[in-house]
Amino acid sequence: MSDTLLKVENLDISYGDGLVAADVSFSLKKGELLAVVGESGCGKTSLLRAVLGLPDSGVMVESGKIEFDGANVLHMARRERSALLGEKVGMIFQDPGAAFNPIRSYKKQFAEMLKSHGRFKGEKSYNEILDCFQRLNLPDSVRILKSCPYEMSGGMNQRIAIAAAMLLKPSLLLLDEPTSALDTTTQKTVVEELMRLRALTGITMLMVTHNLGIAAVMADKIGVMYAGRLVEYGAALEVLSHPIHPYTRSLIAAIPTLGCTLPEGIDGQPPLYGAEAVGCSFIKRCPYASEKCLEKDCSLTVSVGDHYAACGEGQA
Amino acid sequence: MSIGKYTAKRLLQLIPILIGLTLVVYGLMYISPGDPATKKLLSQGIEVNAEVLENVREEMGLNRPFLVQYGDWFLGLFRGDLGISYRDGLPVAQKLISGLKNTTLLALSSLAFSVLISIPLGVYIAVRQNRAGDYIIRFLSFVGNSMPNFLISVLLMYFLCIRVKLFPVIAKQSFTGLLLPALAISIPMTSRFVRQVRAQVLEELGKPYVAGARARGVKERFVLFSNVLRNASSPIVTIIGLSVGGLFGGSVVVESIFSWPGLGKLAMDAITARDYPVIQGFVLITGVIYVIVNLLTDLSYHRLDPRVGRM
Amino acid sequence: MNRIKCVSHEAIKCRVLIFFILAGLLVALSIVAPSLAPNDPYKTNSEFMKVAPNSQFPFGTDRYGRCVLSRVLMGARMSVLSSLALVAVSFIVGTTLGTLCGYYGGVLDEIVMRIADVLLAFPQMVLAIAVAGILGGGLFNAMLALGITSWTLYARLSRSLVMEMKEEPFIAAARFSGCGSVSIMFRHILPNIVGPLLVNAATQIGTMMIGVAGLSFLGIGVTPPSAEWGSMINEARTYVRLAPWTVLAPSGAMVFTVMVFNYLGDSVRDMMDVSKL
Repeated sequence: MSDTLLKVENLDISYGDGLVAADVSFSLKKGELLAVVGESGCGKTSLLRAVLGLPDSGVMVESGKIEFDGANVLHMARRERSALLGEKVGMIFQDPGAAFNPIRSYKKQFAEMLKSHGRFKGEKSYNEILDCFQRLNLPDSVRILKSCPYEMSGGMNQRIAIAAAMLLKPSLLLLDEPTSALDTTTQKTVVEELMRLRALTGITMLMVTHNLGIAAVMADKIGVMYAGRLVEYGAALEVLSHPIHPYTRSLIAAIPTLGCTLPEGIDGQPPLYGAEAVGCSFIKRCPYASEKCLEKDCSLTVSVGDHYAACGEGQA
Repeated sequence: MSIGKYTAKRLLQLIPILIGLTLVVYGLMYISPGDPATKKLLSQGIEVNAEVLENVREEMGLNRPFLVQYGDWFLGLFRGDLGISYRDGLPVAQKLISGLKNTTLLALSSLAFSVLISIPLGVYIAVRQNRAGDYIIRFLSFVGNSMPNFLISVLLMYFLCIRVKLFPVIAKQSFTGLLLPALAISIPMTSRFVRQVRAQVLEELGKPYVAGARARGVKERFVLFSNVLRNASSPIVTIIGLSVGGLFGGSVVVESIFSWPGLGKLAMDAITARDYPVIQGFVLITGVIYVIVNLLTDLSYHRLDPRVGRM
Repeated sequence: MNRIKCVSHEAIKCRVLIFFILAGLLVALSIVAPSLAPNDPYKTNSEFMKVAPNSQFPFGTDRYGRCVLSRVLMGARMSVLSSLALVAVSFIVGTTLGTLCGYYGGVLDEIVMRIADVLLAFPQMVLAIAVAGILGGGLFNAMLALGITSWTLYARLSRSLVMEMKEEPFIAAARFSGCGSVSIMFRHILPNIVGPLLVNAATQIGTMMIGVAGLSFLGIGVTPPSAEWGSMINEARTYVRLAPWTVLAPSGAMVFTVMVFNYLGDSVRDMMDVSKL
């Protein structure tokens, strides 16, 4: 049990109106990387925000449990939970330019972060930061420290954001589509950096992405979300090579590959508050839909070993 | 373009603007009803008949063509001579300078008061958005903003000078004398500022870097003061700077009501008495101040936000 | 990750409607004021000078025995209608000039914008005071004095909006299909840019009202015996200790009216902001 760093059980999330995610459960062992994949609006970012637990973010956990290192964070006092931020849990945002105040130097912002955690030791701290930069292969670290975010490219900003998130050596790193806003070459660099980071520190990561390719390269486990529900969950290799749920299968079929026939897209759009609906939300776009899907129990009922899915229709 | 060049360019633009303005005002005075010579005689209690009037008009140079009168005045500027007041014969420059000192005192104290109140208040209600305090203060600021400053002056005078004899009706040139006129000017200004500070702070708070900082565990006071306020400071400074012009406009009314011997009162008296040289001098000096203040505001904006490029 | 609570579009439209109705009522009130006034606003009564509010004179009387309520109602007419007229004229003149400048550019643009710069290089109220004072007062001169600078707001805004919109593909399409310039400006561009301009107009009404009242207060706008809130307040302040209602009644009316129009302007702005999303 002490091996599990993060455990989420039957989580229901909303923004005050309808549910945006329902009955989400997964767990992360120390050192693992779980990639949550899905289309825009499937609730994966809300899930991340709920786990991060920023005050005033608008996200509300309606029911369920989030256990971090054995303790249920939802029962913690606000101050106690906020104390985790930066020290035990770090976050990388989708928009690289957005994590930092664009017109203040990195030096000041890093110092501010350290001061907030009582770890600022003057010049020594700056040296530690420079070390951190160098370990993460950031070129010209002295110049970077003195510059302001608005002067940097997206890729550099993201890498510096990763450095900042890692500075206090948290045990869990949350990543919200860390490469979506970058061009493909920079994406590759950032992905490689993240993988090096894992190898170096053994940090646990929860990553949200709509890019199955990145998930394939980086993840130990994959969770597929659709319309607010987790529809498939298991070891990355298993999920990608033997997908069970019709949605996952369509997703994989939709990946373009060089030199082959055109991929098949999935027609239609996911429903907005699918998490609230009874029965399967994928019904309108599923090639195997039938009457019984309207009443279906959408929890992860189908399983092959540690590989779970909500539905196994139409498997060959 | 460097700062020096930009400043020089703006200051040079000042010249045609001032010429245009003073020409327009001079022209208006020329064509408007009401003869300064007549007024002067009347105010001195001298009977007006055609001969005396003609002599006085010659004396005052009022019979010369318009452009000659204007040209004469314009050339006088280079000697530092702004003419002589029609009313009391004192040099205009001297009157203006003493008026300016008093008005500046009034303007700066009003500004200081407004800024010191509105910024903390604005930040407070932004942070406590949509709670009771926010609604109350926003309502009050709306009321304050809808009240013209002559109204506030009269009400202040009624409640604080007449009902409760806390202050003298005619303002002495002292701290207590300054208090009421400064308050009369500050109330609408503070009301306006509070809402704008709130809007700016709210806008900053909604920006992604705030969440980013919080996610790194940065303490709320750092987020608010070192980041949000700092970023919001350039638009706030701009708003404040642009209000300074309004200060000189607002002071005319307030100074007249409280008899505060500033530029505004001077101008008001001059307008009623058709004291052309004083009016001209007033327009000139106010124009210069306005342009310089706007220039300083612009320059500070660029200093506070390095992303805004050089011109 | 915004914390900002989103007020629904419905609530905003509701607000606009409420204040529009209130403002409309005020305008209606101003128009029918003569028939609503309980007494003749200009009639002086030597027996009833500075009388406190009673059944005959609901707001009391002023120094000359005139009914304050009646004068306040007539003042409404003066203030409300003159500000609306002023804003309307500034809007039309300013928008027309700005549209022409933005569309044609060239010499016209240079001249008009330089004039605007000169006029705006000076605090607007001070200029209004100077001009109105020099011209000798009266409602028309006061409106003129305020109007000298008020058109610039619409001119600048419409000019920049037109310049942006000029480049839009649908304008080029209109041109190719043979539309003349005037037709393009009025049928195609103007309807699209009228939103922000109206917002500014709505918010300017309150400012103009205060402007007219301010000038009248200083004696260079509407002068007695005409009833206008600013001049009433000025007249009454000399004997405010004896008859405070003479100051409080027009003050209250003024603040209320300006607030209604300011709230209207505010809600219109909120509404436009949301639909711009």
